[in-house]
Amino acid sequence: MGNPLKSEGAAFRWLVAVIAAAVVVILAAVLISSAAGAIIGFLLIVAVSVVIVRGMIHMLGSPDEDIPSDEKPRQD
Amino acid sequence: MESASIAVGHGAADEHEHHGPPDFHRSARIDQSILGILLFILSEIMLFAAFFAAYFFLRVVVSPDTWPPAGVELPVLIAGINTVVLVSSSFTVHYALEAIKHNNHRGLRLGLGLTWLLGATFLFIQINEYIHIGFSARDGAFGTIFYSLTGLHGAHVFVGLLLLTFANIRAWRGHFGPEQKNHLGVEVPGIYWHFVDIMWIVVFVTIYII
Repeated sequence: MGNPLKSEGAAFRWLVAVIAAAVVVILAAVLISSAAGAIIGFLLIVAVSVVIVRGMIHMLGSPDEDIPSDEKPRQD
Repeated sequence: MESASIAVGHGAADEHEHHGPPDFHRSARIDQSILGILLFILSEIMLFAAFFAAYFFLRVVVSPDTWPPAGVELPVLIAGINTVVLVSSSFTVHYALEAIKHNNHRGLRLGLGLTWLLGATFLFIQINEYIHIGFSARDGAFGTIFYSLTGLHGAHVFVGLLLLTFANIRAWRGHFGPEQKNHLGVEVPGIYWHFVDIMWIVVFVTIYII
């Protein structure tokens, strides 16, 4: 899925995924209990957060990668 | 050097044909506008997280047995319809952006116009819900957190509508084009709008379902 803030298309794909996840949470809350829905929702949010943070780290990269090697400041 | 700075300032694919790495304070990986909306949305997520923390604290710690309080009945069906309305608006803004990517200006105007109307409809229904719901923000912890969370989200919808108003005006004036640098004025509000929709889904499930 990647980083949802990379582009509008990526954010839209995440929206569709969130709709699907919400349906799962609603079904769990209605069929089992509110606590079950809350726990499943919490686990999904944690999993999604990990994916998003990893995607952002990859997208932003390191500042060193934006500076050509011959222009890097010397570290004395 | 000055011309290179100007070229970078207008994006990597600028007509000035800037080659080589960007200035040291700019990223070659991400556009400034996208980075700006990214940081903004991250701060918004933290804001909403604080409100959700307050909600669950009140629900689990303060009032574990009586939530919602006796006599309070939330209009789940109306809120569900409102959810469908708002989620539909994400599909229309996505359609608008896909249209301009294919140089379809009519589709862009149609998509943005529908998005604005659906967003305004959502706000109208929510205000109507506030009028008829039967309790206020002063009626206990539940009333306070209910109006805080839904009101916070409603404020974000209002800001999104302002952004969409500008995007609509610019679309009718023909400001946008198929190249990415020529439709950032739709892409960035689109990202924000999807964020607002995602947050509403979380708010709806948390308050009305769970």
